[in-house]
Amino acid sequence: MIPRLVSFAIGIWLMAAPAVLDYEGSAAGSDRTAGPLIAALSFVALWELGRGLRWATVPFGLWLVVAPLVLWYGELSATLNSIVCGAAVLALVPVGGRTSGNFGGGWQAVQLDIRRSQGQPG
Amino acid sequence: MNRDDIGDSKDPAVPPGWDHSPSGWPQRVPIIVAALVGLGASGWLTLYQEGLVDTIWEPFFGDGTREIAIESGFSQWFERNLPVGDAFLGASVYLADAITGSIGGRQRWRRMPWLIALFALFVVALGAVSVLLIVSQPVLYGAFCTLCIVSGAASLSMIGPALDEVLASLQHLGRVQAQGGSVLRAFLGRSPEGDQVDFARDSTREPVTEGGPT
Repeated sequence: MIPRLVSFAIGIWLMAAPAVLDYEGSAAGSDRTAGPLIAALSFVALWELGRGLRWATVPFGLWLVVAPLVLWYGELSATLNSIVCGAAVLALVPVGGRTSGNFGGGWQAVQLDIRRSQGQPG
Repeated sequence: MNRDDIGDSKDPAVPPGWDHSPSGWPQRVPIIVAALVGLGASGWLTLYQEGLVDTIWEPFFGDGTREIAIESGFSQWFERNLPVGDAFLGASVYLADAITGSIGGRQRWRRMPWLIALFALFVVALGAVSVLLIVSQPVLYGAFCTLCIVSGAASLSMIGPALDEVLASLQHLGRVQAQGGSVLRAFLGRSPEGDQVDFARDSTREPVTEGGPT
């Protein structure tokens, strides 16, 4: 729960950062794209059954770490912000948090083969 | 609840191994409320976009809402090529969320898996599209829009709570299949034997007749 909230807050911060730290161009575009996606994925991952979605933030975390080098931001504030936020998002992903297990085994317990949807003869 | 009670419930609305009904009203009312909030936000945007009202709630981003809802290439493309605006489409899906979230009783995860699938499709599609719009607006048009963000937040907050019914329906269909029943018939809610599957090992658990919303 807490790791997802922190990750969500980082995403929201990235949406506001270009205005707060006063940078524009490709750095702003990158943060305004990765920010809402990280925030949205982390938000859905707050719920126990959506917890696995936290892994979908990995590509955006990786992108934030390398983006300042790939796009060569120039502004030091934008560069540091991107790398620190990306590294923080990545560091939070492995922390799954507590789960109740009150869902009959969860997604792993679903044993359904849709190729056999008509039922077996006999 | 005592840990040993889990899965031993006499309530036919509680799936085996669960401690609550995923289709219970405490689970569903917050989703319906979020859908109505989203309907309010996108309904207002629709009226604004169609020129039926002149005022829009925009306390944070100056001209942002007008730039996005009226002047953006996205909205203008809709206006040129479709009979309805993008806000109207969003409002329609929120209404579909509220309706498919309200139909059925506490056993609907088992009695109406088709409805759960429809509900989940609307909820997930709306959430995904809302996030993509929120991503595209500042990047493409350099503007934010308060009601668009309210709408996006409402649609996102529905996804997590909607997942438990999807899981319960999938687990149920898996049990039907494991016992040799027709998954298709169970999906359509037309399999009397489907009701028995979840309670086969406990003769004291009689499936009860659906009473509708109470």
